[in-house]
Amino acid sequence: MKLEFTVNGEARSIEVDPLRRLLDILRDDLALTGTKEGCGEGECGACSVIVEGKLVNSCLVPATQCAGAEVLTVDGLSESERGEMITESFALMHGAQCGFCTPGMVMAAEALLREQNDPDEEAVREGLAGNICRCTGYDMIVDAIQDAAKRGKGLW
Amino acid sequence: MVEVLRPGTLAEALAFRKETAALPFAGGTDVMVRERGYTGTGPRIDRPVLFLDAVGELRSITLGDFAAGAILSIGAAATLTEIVNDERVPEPLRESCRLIAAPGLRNRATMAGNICNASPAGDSIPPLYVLDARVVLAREGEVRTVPIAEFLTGPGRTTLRDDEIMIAIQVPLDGDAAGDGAASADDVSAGASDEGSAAAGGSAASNGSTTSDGKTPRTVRYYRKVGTRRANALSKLSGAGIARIDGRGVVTDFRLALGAVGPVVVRVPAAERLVAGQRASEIEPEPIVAAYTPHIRPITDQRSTAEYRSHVARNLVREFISRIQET
Ligand SMILES: Cc1cc2nc3c(=O)[nH]c(=O)nc-3n(C[C@H](O)[C@H](O)[C@H](O)COP(=O)(O)OP(=O)(O)OC[C@H]3O[C@@H](n4cnc5c(N)ncnc54)[C@H](O)[C@@H]3O)c2cc1C
Ligand code: FES
Ligand code: FES
Repeated sequence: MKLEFTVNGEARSIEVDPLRRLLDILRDDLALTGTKEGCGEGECGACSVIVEGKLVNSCLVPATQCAGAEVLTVDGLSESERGEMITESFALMHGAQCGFCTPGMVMAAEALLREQNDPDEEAVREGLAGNICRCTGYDMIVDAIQDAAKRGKGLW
Repeated sequence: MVEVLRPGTLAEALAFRKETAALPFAGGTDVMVRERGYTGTGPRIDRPVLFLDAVGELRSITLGDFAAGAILSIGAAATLTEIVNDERVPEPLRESCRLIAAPGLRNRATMAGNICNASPAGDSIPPLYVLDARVVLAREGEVRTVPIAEFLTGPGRTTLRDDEIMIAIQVPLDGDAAGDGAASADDVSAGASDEGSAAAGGSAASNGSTTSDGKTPRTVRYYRKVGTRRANALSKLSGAGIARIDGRGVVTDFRLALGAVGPVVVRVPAAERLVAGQRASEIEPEPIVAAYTPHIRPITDQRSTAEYRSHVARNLVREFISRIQET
């Protein structure tokens, strides 16, 4: 099929199999490798992106469902003021160790902060419930997101 | 390459389904995992695929008044996030959806998909049993409405025909059930538990309004999901209940459904009748537990053992009764 959609603000048109996963389209067809594959079955959140304003697992979304959609990936987000704020907070609060989960965490953080710009700890943990981190033990990620909310007041 | 269609109208969807017996695809959170291919490749589906997420008629949640009372109709393509955010969705159904998976999954997954997948661990299903919900199935030229318990016949098995799709789930909002779904959301928030604490903590909500003679009839709503962790964990088992207690403290209605303790959800009318008519404070739990016991016949699988499930299922019966007695 011919897939026409918008990725990180740029109109794209590519020829793909209708069941090709959005994850593979981003990484292999569009060379946007910020988005990671962990489990490939919806469990880990490493592949999280925002489609039509909503957080989704790109390993579960086939090309057909992306027709006409607006997709935001970590590659696009990190060039925005909000994305810079979140990644800076991850650095400041030591929210990344190996870094593999970080792109998904950053996307989940962006989705959460759009809905609640001053989330308490419980809300942050709920917002990150679908993202697994093998390294940090999560506390530092929670701190990072609350730090971004605080320093980035007014951005969301 | 498989044939796919992502129609905008129900008429197109039904025509394609009839013509090709295509696989319905809503949020895809079960289908994409079940049909998963090698890393870097898409799912391996060898039949046409009918995407339902863009069908306008299936997306809304609407309230209708019928002769039998108010009914909330949840469109088959409404996402779990939309359902959780809708205060008209009665407890314990709303709470069960809030505890499914995680935000990103709930943004795509549907209740219709949860039902049609027909997993014994489908979390929305026990609440649908206690609410006496019905599913609406359509094919070209015909719509039928079927009680949830008649739709689900076994693990992975339903009475869906090859040319049908589920278009909605109808949830009766009878009597005091209608308005209090909204008010009870906070009260049932302790509904998820890890495996160690199924006998502790609570997940009941009660609501009521004072009658003219000063007594307060109330409704207790119960939901308990038992899993390994709070998010993204399929249930080992679950329980959902509704009980109504009148102004004299007598239980007038008692409904309990247990999930993942048998091939289909367990509701035991004989046990429910044992409780109805008793004064809440005087209910002896053990005879009730005994009435459920022969119906609790779980299996051992990768998530839990039959012994664990039987033991905890009986604790859920006790917990629901204790919630009724507490308030
Ligand atoms: C990481 C992860 C965690 C999960 N956690 C939970 C959990 O905690 N609790 C739980 O219950 N489930 C859980 N699930 C399972 C799944 O997310 C749910 O069952 C979900 O509700 C399925 O909805 P869907 O729209 O994605 O279904 P789909 O995958 O689109 O469809 C599921 C099945 O239903 C059929 N179908 C869908 N819609 C229709 C229709 N309108 N008419 C006819 N047939 C239809 C499909 O053909 C398919 O067989 C989890 C899944 C994953 C990947
Ligand atoms: S790769 Fe998509 S959730 Fe793990
Ligand atoms: S930092 Fe290594 S998985 Fe999270």
